[in-house]
Amino acid sequence: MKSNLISRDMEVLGAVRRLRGTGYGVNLRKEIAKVTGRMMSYATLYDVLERLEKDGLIVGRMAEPTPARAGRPKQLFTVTGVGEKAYSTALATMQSFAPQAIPAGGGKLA
Amino acid sequence: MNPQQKMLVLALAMSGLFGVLFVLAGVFDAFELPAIVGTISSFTAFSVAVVAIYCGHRSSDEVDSMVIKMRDALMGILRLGSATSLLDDSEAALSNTPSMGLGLLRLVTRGDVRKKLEGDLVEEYNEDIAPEHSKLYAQCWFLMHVLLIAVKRFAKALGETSGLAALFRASFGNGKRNGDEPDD
Repeated sequence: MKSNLISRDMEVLGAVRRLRGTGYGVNLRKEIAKVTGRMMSYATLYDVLERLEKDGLIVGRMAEPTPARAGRPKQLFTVTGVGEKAYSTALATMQSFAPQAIPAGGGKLA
Repeated sequence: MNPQQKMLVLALAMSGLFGVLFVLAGVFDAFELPAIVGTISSFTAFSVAVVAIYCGHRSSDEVDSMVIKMRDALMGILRLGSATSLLDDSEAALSNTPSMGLGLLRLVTRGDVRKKLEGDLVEEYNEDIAPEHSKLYAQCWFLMHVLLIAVKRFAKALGETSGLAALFRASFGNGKRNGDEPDD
C-alpha cells in the first residue's frame, strides 16, 4: 500500500526551492531526507531533476569544480517562474481540500 | 548433467529468485532495498541465461575464448577506478572510492551527466559515508547507487513504448512515464 502521497516531483521541487539556487545532488538529498525522513537515491533524484528541467520548472547551471569532488563540477539548480507557479498551484490545490476550521479539542470533522 | 545443462538449471533458479524478488518489490512498494536486490539478481539471471544459451551453441574452444574475454573486460572495469597513478591532483579524492563502482559508473554514463554524478557520489562517499561507516558498508553504498543509476538509465533507454520499460517502471520507478502529466 502506498504510504506517501506527496510525489517525488513535489519533494525535489520543494528542496530546490528551499535551497535558493545552491541546491545540487548531495545537499538536495540531505534536504529531502530532513523533511521527509527518508533518503532518495541519486538515480531517482537525477531522474526527477532531469524531468523537471525538461518541463521548464527548474534550470541547472554548472558550477566550478572543487577538490572534494575530485575536480568534478556541481550542477546547481534554481526554480524558474513557471516552477514557482506550479509549486504554488499544487500547494493551493492540496490546501483547498483541507477543512476550513479544525474544531476545538480536535473534535470529529464533518 | 553436462556443464551447459548445469548453467541452464542455474539460470532457471536465478530467474525464479528474481521473480520472487520482483513480487516482493511490488508487495512492499518500497524502492531502495527490493530494487537493488531485484536488480542484482535480474542482471545475474540474465547474464547466466545468455551465457548458457551461447555455450550450448559453441565449441569448448570458443567458450574458453569467450570466458577469457569476459574476464579481461571485468578486470578492466575493476582497474579503471583504481588507476591512481593516472590521476592528477584534482582527482586525488578518487583514490579512496570503490574502483568497481567507479568503473561501472563510467561504463553507464557519459559527458556532463557522468561528471556531476561522479562528483556527487565521491563527495558524499568521502565526507559522510566512509568516515561514519565500515569500509564494506561504504563500498556497498557506492555500488548500490551506481547500480540504481545503471538500471534507471537502462530502463530509460528502452524507450517510452517498450513493454519491458513499463515493467521496469512498475517495479523500480514511481510508476509514471517520463513527461507524464500529473493525474487529474
